[in-house]
Amino acid sequence: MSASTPISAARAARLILRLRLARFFNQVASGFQRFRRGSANSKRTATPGKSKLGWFVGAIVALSMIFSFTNIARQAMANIKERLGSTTTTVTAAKSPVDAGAPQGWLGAQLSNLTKQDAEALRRGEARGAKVTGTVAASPAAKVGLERNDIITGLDQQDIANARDLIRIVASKAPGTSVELILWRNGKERRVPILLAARPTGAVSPQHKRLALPVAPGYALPWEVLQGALLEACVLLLATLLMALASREIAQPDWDVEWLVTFPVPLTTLLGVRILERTLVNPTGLFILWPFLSVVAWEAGYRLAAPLLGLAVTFALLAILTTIWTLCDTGLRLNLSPPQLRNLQAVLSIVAVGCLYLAMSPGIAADSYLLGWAPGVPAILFWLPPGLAIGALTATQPADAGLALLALAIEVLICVALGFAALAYQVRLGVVSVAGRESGRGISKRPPATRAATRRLPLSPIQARELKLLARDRSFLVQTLLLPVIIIGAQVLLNTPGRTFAVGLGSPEHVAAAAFAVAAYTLMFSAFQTLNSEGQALWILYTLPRSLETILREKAVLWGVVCLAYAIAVIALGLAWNPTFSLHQLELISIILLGVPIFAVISTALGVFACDPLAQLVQRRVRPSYLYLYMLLASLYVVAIYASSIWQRAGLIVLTALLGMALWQKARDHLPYLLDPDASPPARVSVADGLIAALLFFVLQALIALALSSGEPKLTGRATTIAFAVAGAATYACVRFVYWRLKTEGVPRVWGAAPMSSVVSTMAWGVLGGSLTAAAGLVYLNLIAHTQLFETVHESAFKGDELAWLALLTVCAAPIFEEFIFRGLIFGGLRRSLGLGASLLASAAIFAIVHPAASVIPVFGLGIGAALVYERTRFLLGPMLVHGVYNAAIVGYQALS
Amino acid sequence: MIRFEGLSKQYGSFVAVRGLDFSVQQGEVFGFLGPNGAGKTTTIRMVMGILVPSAGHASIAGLDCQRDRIAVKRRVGYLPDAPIFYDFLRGREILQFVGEMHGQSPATARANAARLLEELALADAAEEYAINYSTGMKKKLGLASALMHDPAVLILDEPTNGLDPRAAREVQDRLRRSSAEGKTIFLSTHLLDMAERLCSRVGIIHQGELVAEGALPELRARIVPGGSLEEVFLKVTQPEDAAVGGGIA
Repeated sequence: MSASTPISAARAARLILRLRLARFFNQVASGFQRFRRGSANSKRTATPGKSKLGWFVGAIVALSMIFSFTNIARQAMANIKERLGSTTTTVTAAKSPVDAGAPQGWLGAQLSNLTKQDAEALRRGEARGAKVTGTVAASPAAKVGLERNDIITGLDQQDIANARDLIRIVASKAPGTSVELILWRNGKERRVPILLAARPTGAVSPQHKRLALPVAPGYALPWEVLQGALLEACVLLLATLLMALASREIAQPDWDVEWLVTFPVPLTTLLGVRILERTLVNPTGLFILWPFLSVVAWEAGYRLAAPLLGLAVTFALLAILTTIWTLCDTGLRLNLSPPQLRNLQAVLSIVAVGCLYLAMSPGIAADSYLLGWAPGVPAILFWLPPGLAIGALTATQPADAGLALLALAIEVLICVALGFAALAYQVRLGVVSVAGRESGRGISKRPPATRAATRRLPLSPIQARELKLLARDRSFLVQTLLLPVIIIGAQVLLNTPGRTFAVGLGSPEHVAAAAFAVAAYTLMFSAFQTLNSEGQALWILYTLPRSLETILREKAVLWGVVCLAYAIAVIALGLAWNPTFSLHQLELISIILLGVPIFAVISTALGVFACDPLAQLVQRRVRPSYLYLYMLLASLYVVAIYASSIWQRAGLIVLTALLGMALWQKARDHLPYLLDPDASPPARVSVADGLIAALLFFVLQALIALALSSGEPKLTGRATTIAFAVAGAATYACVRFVYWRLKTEGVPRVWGAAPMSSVVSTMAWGVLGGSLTAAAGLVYLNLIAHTQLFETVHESAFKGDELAWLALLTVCAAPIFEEFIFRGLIFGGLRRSLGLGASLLASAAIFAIVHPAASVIPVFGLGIGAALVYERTRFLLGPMLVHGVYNAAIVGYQALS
Repeated sequence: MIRFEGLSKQYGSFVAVRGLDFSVQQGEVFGFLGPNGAGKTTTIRMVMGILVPSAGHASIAGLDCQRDRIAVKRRVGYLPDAPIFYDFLRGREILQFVGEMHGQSPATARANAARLLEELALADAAEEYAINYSTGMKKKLGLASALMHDPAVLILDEPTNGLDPRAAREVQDRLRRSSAEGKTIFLSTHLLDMAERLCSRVGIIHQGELVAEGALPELRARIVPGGSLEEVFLKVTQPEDAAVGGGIA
């Protein structure tokens, strides 16, 4: 009666693989279904889901990841070649750089020029100075205590450009002169008085040259470089394995296998298919291994074939890797209980990140531990798969390469076969042997005493629950609180042993950047995951009589405070090391203290978009593109720390704050629709639209101006005006078109179908507002009339017939387009969610920041005035008039004076 | 057909299933009843080879459920308590996959899938991704996959859980038809009226132990004379009647 006949293992493998690939493609294709018109004739059409352009963003992110990893790999190989593949030889100079003649002063220090790293350590743009590489015994330098790696930047009042410069200056002074050297040691500046001696005859400064080592016979690269590349490849493999094992799924029941187990197919086939699938579809492994192996092939001389060769070798190594991974994975699941698995996963995640950083360290610093260990790589390692891979890529004879590839293939097959046998033995009794029961560690007999600890803190129920979960879920705790410290610490420790730590702490910018980095990373693991950590229990939050937004806000506050504590700890560490207080430091500290709360808001908002609570497969729950967007925004903020002028810093802070508000608003709109697989929030004008429009406007303006001026350095008034007008019109057209397509509500109108009287009153308000702000602006101009700022304003003003273009620009074009973006979109969007005061301040701030430094304050006033008029009249005509009147007054005043 | 001999399962110190000893004859509809958490799903998972028994064994048609797992699965159709399907596959694709995995040719699998979808009133939703199925639809799809290869034994964990009255009636009719064709049906449920209508014999499990077993009229007469199955159930599953302590020897 049974219609079930046995099928071969190969057929089963093919069916399962085809099923999983079909599922993968369906998932990708479901993103396209939005654009397909007409559907099947069935009554219930398939719901396409909400991933609109997710695949597009994902593709861009994947490409940029490959790009950045390739960069790191390239840098790593370059460092390996430089540090391991060449030696320094001392070449004595033919002539001394100064003429013999009058007795010359002498320091007795061996000097070399500065490297880029030394220049960075000194916080200078160029490498100006001379580095001490040794001292001659009994010389003035030795007596005074000059040490190796001291950097001399000045002598008396003179700045030192390079080693030759210092030698020349010293030689030009008479022996016995006392001079003062300005030198840097361990990040601190010192002034050292030194008594010059007479230059001994015949003393010439030796010069060092780097000489490339000869290539190993039969290979395209020297033996030492091959050793370095092999070590790097091994560490990369280890890092990939650890990252795979440290994923959260290991602690969760494997429903996938549990379903497939109900088929009359041997377990070994199922696990074999799993190995095959993990080899073929393994983004982590590909991203980590492929760039480096391709770069090795490139260095060995292959050009276009390098990526393909790298790919082939990557797959071979991945096969071994996934066998080991599946063995570990299955064995761990069979033998450990879920709490133990979670603890293990927590530990492994730390080790994996450390390993990854170790693997990346040659690409980041020229002098890392890995390069120090490379010479110890034994020759026997070259017969193992990673060694064979490197050998195959770098062999010069095709026959040798082919032989190495063949040996690699054989070893891979042996490995996989052995792994298979081990797997079969492991699962001979079944795949699930533990029930999945979560045993609480202490099922206390006595009733729980009131938790006075959490009750004492002013926490809301949501916040108290978060902390409780944090304390209980060890893996969550480790990931959230420990991992960021490990990541930053690893960066600092591994990059240059010893030196960077000291130098890093000495420089306030580095400390500030590290503080922000730790806080941002911690936010990424905590605030970003606020919705995600609810998991399948998200529906509970929808049943509570509180809006999801307030719940999220409480969580954001909690995590903001926690991460601020981290940032403050790092800053305190830096201050303890280097107890100097300056205004600059205060400024940096305030940047951090402002940045962490802003990023708490940003990460929570992005977390809302990134979470997909309906996804059944755990790894699909977080959309990685938003994670990378968050990291991008955080790294952009770090630019604010290193920016040179205060206006740039202030501008970046204001921009980031506004971005945070925009994202929060969009997230808020999105919240009611999270659990609905199909519906999306209706389109409304939001701050994010304004920001995008502003960005588009400025970019278009710059591009068109560039095209019009065709390379001339100074832009003519005509070019500027035309660029402005065209960019403005194009942006306006784009935005209106998008709004029309999406049927957005609340689009700002210049004037609507309104009675004449209200149009007149609008114009009256406009003129009134314009006069008031213009008066304020003129007062300001008078106040600064005798200061530096005024000169710059005056200089940048156009003269003569340029003035006509300027007038056209400022009185006609600017009001029309800028008002639509800044008042219509940004102020309007803000007003939808915030009160009048906050919206006024925020929109005026962003309006002011995009104007030149000299006019920030009056433009701020203009922003407030125009926004108030818009609030009052509800038509854009009002603010346009305000803007026009203001500009006319200011330009007229400047033209007349 | 299905034989349980001393089947037990222990997780650490917690005993989930204790020494089950009974059998199901060919062509019977056997109802496995019990309160929530009694060990019904654990027993079924042991029969399907997903869990490994701590002691004893189960066998189907003489084949041991652990040792001859593959042969057992060829003869058994299984419906789990909460079926999970791949999110981005259509119902039809999943059924075709199941058919092909059981060795049917693609054409046969397609025909069987279409027939079963029609019979279980899933034809409308066949083209939809499984992520969009309601609980009832998932149950019906699970039942369809269990029936694809026309097995001799059906093992069903809560088959009408989550189904609306019409769907539940359709499922019960289908099960009655299968039983008339000679299939052995082992279903676990806690819906006593369905058990009364469908099953020829029942077994009641309570805290891991089989506390009552036999044909319905005989059970009623023995335990609560003149009473309904519900009264029998409530009587044998009273908390103080539970055996205390002990592990597996």
